[in-house]
Amino acid sequence: MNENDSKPGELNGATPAAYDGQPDDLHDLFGTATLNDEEDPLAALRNDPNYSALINELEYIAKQARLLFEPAQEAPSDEVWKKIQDQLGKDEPEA
Amino acid sequence: MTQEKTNPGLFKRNPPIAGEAEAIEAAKNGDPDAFSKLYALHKRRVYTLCLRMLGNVSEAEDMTQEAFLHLFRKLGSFRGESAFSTWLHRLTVNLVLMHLRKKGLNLVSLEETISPSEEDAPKRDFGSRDPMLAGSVDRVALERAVASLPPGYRMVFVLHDVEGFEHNEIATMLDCSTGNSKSQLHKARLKLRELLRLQSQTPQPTSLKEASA
Repeated sequence: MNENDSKPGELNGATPAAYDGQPDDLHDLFGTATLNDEEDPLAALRNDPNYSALINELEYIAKQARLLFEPAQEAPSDEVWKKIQDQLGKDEPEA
Repeated sequence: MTQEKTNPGLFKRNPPIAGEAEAIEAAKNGDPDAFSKLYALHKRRVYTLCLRMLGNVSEAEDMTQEAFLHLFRKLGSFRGESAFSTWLHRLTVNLVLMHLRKKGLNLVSLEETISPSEEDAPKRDFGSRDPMLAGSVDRVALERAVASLPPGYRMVFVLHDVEGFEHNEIATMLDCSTGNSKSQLHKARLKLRELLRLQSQTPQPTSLKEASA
């Protein structure tokens, strides 16, 4: 799924300053990674002490975000359904 | 609306709801009670999606209304090739995006305009080893932080990390490149990390509605 593969081997031992010169590559690596990926685009960074904590936190945020998909407590006001009903009286569904 | 190819991931996240299939068929035949049931089943998720994308209660309610009216008009074209809620969410996302474009978010220049200003951009503290977020972020805190994100970041984060759309789907919806979608997502997560750390240091309101009103 990572169509913009970097060369993980080249990242080993690099410092954050080195990554500053290639922010697009770094954004792409982090932005591509998901919890279900079989191929881990961040593999080369996970053992880098400069990045392991950051990766853990960003993955934690992404994991928590998935929980937001579950039914929420927030609901639209009753007025919304009243307006829908009013409008439905005038509309016909398309075939 | 045309049917998109089945996305197993979204089916997985949208298991069939008891009585939903029957309600869909009955609503297609004009049964008002069935449509009422579909509204009851999906109003929270549709409204929450609108609220997260728009960050405004009034607009979110208007778009929820629009989404269900659109659903009523287009229900006949639903063939069950994807989960109903996936189909409804895509319909809602498209309506919200159309609404935002009408408000001035230019389709052609979206790639640039979804990028927030420099001061909204996340700080470049890639090297931080502080693990203070681990295990400490609850739903309310994250909702509040998401509501605080700049609109471009929020849009991509909600579509990818919450709703489960792929980057190529987001790129099509937002009319930007997949690389831009990935970049926005990464910046959004970095910005959220900052916001969550800030939140943990200050007292906050207790609901999404409060946070986004």
